[in-house]
Amino acid sequence: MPDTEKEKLKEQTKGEMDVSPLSLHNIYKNIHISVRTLDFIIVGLIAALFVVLLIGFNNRGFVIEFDSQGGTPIPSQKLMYGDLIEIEEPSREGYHFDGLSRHASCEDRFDMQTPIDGSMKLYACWIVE
Amino acid sequence: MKKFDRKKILDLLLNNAMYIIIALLVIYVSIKRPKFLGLASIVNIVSLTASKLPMALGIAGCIVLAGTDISAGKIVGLSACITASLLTTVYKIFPSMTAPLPIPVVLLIILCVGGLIGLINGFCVAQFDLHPYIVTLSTQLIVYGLILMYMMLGTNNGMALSGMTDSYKKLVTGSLFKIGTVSVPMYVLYALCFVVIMWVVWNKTTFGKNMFAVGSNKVAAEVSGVNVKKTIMMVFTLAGMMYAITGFIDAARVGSANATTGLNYESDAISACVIGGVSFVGGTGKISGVIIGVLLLQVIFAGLNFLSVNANLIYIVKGLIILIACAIDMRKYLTKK
Repeated sequence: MPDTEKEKLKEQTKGEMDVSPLSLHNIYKNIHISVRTLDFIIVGLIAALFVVLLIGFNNRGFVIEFDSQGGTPIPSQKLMYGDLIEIEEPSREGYHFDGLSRHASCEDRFDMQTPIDGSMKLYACWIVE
Repeated sequence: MKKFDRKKILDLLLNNAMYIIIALLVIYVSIKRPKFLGLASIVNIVSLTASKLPMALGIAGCIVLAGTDISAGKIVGLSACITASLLTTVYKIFPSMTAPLPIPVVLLIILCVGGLIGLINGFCVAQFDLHPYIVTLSTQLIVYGLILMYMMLGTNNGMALSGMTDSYKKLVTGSLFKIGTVSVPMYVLYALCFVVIMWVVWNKTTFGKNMFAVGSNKVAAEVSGVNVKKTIMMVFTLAGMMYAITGFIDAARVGSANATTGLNYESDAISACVIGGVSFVGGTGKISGVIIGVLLLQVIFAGLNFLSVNANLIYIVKGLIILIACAIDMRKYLTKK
């Protein structure tokens, strides 16, 4: 291959935009759409994003669900970012309430002083009296 | 002249629409929740960025090849589960274990596992000229099956794995340094190291140059003497290893691992890459772009989280972001063509 062609190829491999249709699996190569149409699509998508964000901003709050694992039911709560969970202690005959856990197996306990940063499900843990 | 100016402004606005949306969001969140710009929040965003960076750096290589890798999240999950089962004090997967394995051994195991899955992806893409989407969709399902089977081993019965050793937790999430009262975790340093390594690989090695050559123009690369098949396999293998490292970090960061660890991570990584200018056209992308993409995406998620936006809506936002980023990428391609 002549040196000039090699130089050209080297230039192509510098990581700059290459529009060759010979790219391995160029997903855009068969797309026939005008830039103007695409502009409308982009604007439409941005509008859709703003609508979704608006819905999100108007329905704020993280849902905290509880599984009392045989105890009296604990109602779910809707809390904001940074809030702390406060619950009325559930009861279960023959058992003593031993806090909440993120896992049904209760291998670790959820620290009630942890600020909330997302929706979650918590499980009640019990010790046999 | 006026028309030309208007076109220029429109081009500028649309090509940078993603950055403008993010800037607007940051301004809105900062007004509503001033703590968003606080030190703790910024360190949190940087830490989250660092935890997702190795994976994005891996997937970016596949996108540079004009491909993608949707098995990434599952490879992260598998490595996290293997790590959590071997660096634990509760031997549920392997009840006959009496002590956790040394950390370097576990790291080597997961690098081999991640690398092997990546190699299989690369082999199928290179050898059979299949679209990476199809190949990685298959491996994603296979790996998910493997995770579920692995989690059923021993006495675990599919439960989440926790109780990791202190030395492992300290190695990953220990304090690198403190800014005031806010601690910066160790994995930020590791992410920086991976950025440097990947920058050298992409920009200063023959392999890196070959990767861009194959992504830009496969035929031209082949003609100029590049071993295309070997390059594709190496890119996917390297990506697999990067996902494994992400899993290793994630198990300690989250404190547990289960079958859903790594779920949808690939969509975050792919959108971060596209936002950062790694084009689906192939042969285009910069390490700095990947970093910016991951950072901006984490800013969006952290901002929405600060506003207590429902997690279900965040999925829709993620999907729209990917669509917008791809549409902008396509626009840049069409205007250049």
